Amino acid sequence: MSDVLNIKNLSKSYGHIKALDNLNLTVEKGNVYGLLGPNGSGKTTTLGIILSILKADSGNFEWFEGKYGANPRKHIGAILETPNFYPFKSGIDNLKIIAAIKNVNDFDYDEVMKLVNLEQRKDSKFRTYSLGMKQRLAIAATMIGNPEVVIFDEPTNGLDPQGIAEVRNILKRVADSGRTVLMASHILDEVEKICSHVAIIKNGKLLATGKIGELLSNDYYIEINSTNNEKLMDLAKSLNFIKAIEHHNDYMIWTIDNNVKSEQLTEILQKNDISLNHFLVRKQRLEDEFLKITSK
Amino acid sequence: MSAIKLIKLEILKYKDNSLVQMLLLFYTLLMPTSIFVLKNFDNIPFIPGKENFFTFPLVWEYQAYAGSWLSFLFLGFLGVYLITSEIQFKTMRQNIITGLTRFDFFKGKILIALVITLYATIIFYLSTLLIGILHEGEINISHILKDQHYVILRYFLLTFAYMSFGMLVAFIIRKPALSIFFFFSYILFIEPLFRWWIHLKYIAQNRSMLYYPMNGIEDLAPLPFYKYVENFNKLKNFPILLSYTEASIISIISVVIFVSLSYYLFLKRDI
Repeated sequence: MSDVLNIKNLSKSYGHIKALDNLNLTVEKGNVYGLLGPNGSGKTTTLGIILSILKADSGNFEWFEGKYGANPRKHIGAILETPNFYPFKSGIDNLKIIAAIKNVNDFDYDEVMKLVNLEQRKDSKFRTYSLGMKQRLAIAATMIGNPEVVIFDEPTNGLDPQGIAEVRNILKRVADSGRTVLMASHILDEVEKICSHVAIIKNGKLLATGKIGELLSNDYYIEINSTNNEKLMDLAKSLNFIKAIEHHNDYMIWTIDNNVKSEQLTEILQKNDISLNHFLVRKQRLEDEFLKITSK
Repeated sequence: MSAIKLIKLEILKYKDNSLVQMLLLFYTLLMPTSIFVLKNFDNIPFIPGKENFFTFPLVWEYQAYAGSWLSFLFLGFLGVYLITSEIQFKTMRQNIITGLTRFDFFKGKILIALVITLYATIIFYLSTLLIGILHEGEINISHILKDQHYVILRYFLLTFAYMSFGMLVAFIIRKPALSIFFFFSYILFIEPLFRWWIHLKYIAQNRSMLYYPMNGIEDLAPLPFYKYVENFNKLKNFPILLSYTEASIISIISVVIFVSLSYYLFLKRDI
């Protein structure tokens, strides 16, 4: 499989602050890659450098194995941080400017405006758009010229729940279209739902990378609570397939070895005459893994 | 990208921007009309009949002088705005991300400034021609062309110099209001104060105090009254107006510095 992006030993500092520290990353064609990290971890700096608006102190990167030379950006659809458009121009005129830069003459603006649910407002000035509409216009802009790679930076930042749902649906459609996607986010749920691969960065360092499924172990969790928690705890201590117990206000969370099915557990509970008022089986989530990795 | 495409791109960006429209409209309306303010004055002391200002060749000089103010106010402002708007809206960033090279972005800005300068010069030349001809009531080609002292080239240079200085200020300061403030302050106060005070007091008491960029640009089209005020040029023990040749050389050097320094800063910095 061919590499779309190769990042080697990238470093950048802002004064004393090391924003990127020897970052290495490879994105293969067709992957939907989530760049995951807390705020200030270096996600936007990384994207800024690979889009040539920030200069790295050291290290290098290569797009498309060099086949488009020094300016591959016409083959990339990208937004960075906030959607940046001319506020005094309409949504559709802003897209036309993007098309002019990308040298795209023939483009179905109406279709892409429909994809992002902006067809009603395509002739309104950008400054009259709500934040959600601005984000959606930015996604439309990344589609112009049918680029091989699209890059999104915190695409749902600052949106209300409905806006988040709308943008996510659009992103899902983009991701499913077979394009290579690179998406920076600090929202795990978003990455988990949309991406096939993930790279976790913190303090400018790559902490973990791989397929989402591979990064997660197969253990699972149950939320559990009983009318008699003392008895429940005594039992839990005697069961060796319970790997960890975490106490919360209304329930405990048990980490269960993946070789033990949840039915087996309920049988044991029944035999011991424990009556439950809360029982919920949960898959291991990226969030848990993320917290484990970033707290190291 | 080709020059034509870059100019088209700049026009696409700004054609429905009301500030740009307003600045160009004011320039275009005031260029042929501001001279009529003179009609309200009685005869001005020391100066031969004010009607002379409406006839060739003096009309060239007066119009170029009035136009130098309009260029400074409206087109210099426009030069600042063409850059700060892109920085403020972060569209400069987006242009580069979208696929414009930094060189092409910069080239587009210089080209659109040249196009606007060309437009301004044409408006200046045609309106002056019209005022002179209407006033004289006849078209006498040799009379019209006499004593122009390359006024069309001087005017072009002057306008482009103000625009490119505006762009340089914008590239350095980046913030819109602060850039405009500095642009006007430098031309109106900072450089004149420096020349008349610090230069004369601490550097030298001679004509070297004239060799400053904005002074050179201003003297491409000085107030024509000066000529008639005998003592004006003797305020100091040296003539305080630059010759057109001197002014042109200083202006050309200044423009080269403005443009190359802008490009250097633009290439060097993160955007």
